[in-house]
Amino acid sequence: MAANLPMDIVADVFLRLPATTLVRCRLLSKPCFALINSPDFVASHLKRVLETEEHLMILLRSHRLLRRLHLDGPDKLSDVDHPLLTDGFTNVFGSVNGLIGLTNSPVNLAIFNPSTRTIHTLPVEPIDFPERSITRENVIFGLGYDSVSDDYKVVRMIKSKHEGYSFELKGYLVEIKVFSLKSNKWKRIHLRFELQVLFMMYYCHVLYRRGNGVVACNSLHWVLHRNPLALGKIIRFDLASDDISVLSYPLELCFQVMGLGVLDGCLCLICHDSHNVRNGHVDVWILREYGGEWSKFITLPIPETVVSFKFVRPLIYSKDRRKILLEINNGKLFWFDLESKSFEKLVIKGCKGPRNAEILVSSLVLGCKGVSGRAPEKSNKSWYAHLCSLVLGSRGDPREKEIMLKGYKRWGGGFLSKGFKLKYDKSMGTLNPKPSSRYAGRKVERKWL
Amino acid sequence: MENEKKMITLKSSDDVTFEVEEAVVLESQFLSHLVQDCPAPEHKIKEVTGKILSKVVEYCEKHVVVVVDGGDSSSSSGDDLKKWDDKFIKEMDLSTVYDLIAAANYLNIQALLDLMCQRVADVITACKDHKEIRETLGIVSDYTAEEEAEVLKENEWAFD
Repeated sequence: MAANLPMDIVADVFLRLPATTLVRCRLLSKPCFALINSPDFVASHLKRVLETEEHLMILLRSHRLLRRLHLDGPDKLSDVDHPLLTDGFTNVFGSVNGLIGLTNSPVNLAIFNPSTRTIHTLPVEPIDFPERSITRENVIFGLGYDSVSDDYKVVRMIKSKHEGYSFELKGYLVEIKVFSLKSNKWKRIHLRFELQVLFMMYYCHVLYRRGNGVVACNSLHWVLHRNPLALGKIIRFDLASDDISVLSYPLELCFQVMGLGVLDGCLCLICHDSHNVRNGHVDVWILREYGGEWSKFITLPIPETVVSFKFVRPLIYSKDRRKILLEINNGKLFWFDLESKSFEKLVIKGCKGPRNAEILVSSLVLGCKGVSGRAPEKSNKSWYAHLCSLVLGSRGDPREKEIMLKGYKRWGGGFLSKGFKLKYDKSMGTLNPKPSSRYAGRKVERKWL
Repeated sequence: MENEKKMITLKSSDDVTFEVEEAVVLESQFLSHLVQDCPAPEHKIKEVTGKILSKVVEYCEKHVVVVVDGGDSSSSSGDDLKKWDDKFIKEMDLSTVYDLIAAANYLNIQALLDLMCQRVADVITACKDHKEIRETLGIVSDYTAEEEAEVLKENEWAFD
């Protein structure tokens, strides 16, 4: 059957396909290849995907494994091989327009498109302070899209654990740098004096994702959790101007704030409900209009299967807007019915253990030159299995262990140019980072779990 | 009201005629311009066959009626319309879909074009490999064997 569809109709059809299918469609013919690679098509496809909310996925990160599943069909779980597997434990620090931010350490960073498996490794940007003065909770990241200059940016903020003023650095011991994908360069951000005070101390306790920037209104946001100098204040990084400023929230909430989230483009503040401390309820406040007033949005009772709220984040509305998908604690996903105030657990088959969730759209951003990320053949399994049991213990997902072993076998390749390499330290019976360049031999890698 | 409705006759390339209300014709941007510019009682559409034009008319009639009826409470009729659309495309073979795409494109009926393009997209998604997609879309590869192998290698993972 000859369809003889004109190219503009083919484009109309292709716009409706998920990115992974489009990667395959590049093999149809040269005109199809050119169409799918063209920046105009990539932009139109992204625009449509964001408007229609079609092909939405949930990306799940566990210690070693990235997996994605379709929001409409949570039964189909698929692995996402990514090159950072070769190099330690990978954290995801944001998801925007189909891209996610990956980090293995403060200097090992990448932007990755799980749908096309295209990766952009960020150039290694040295840190002002010696490694011994950096702790996990004092490094925070953000990934955002700047619609003004059509650029993707990564922000890295590092606070030295030594407090005070450094004459050498002309400021309090904090370093803020921003990476622009367009220029492929890092740039230092200078803080105005009145803002420097806010950064004298910050710590985003307990769960690392408190430190991931939240995108709303072309800006990244962080709440400096339990920082007495930043009460009632949200740090805002303007993605267009690279300026740092402060956004306020009601001061009476400052001791209840658990974290920030975003729903439908509106910034949300997740707070313990002080009137219901015993019941452990959580209030979600929302900033419906940027620059306007915060208002109380919903109160979440505690789901039966959850002992206490440690981390709560709204992810997305259901299509009929009657429910909200929530991530609770270690990646537990629940649909919360806004009318009946009841929870419905989103059961994901074949995925055990703690994990984190991100909403992921299916886009062609970064292009289609995917990395193969193929897992090597299995051999010497017994030795690796021994190693694995040492590292992960008897708990955890069997798939996780398998990936861990594969990754370990491939360390020779070393995907990132500089930074951590792991070595097996028999005397310690655990994985230790082998320091390269700036980092001396502390067990940093384990800390990044 | 009933007898005031203006009727227009559409004639296909193979001289099959369809008598429709003016409102039905207005679903097509092309025809609405034609009717405005040239107020004849009969219009010949040389590019569309009777078989396809009957489908176009069926689609437009359904959509016009629902829009008029559903002026007040449109949500249920919106769902009904979607069900009707689903049934409409389900019963259709791909070659009819392609002919309807050409007709909707020519007559400028955006909603019908969208519906048909979505159907093709669904078929492509269900294809198991690029060869099947090529067959479905009737695309002839202009790659040499080496070039094809190169593109294949670039995205090997996507073809598992």
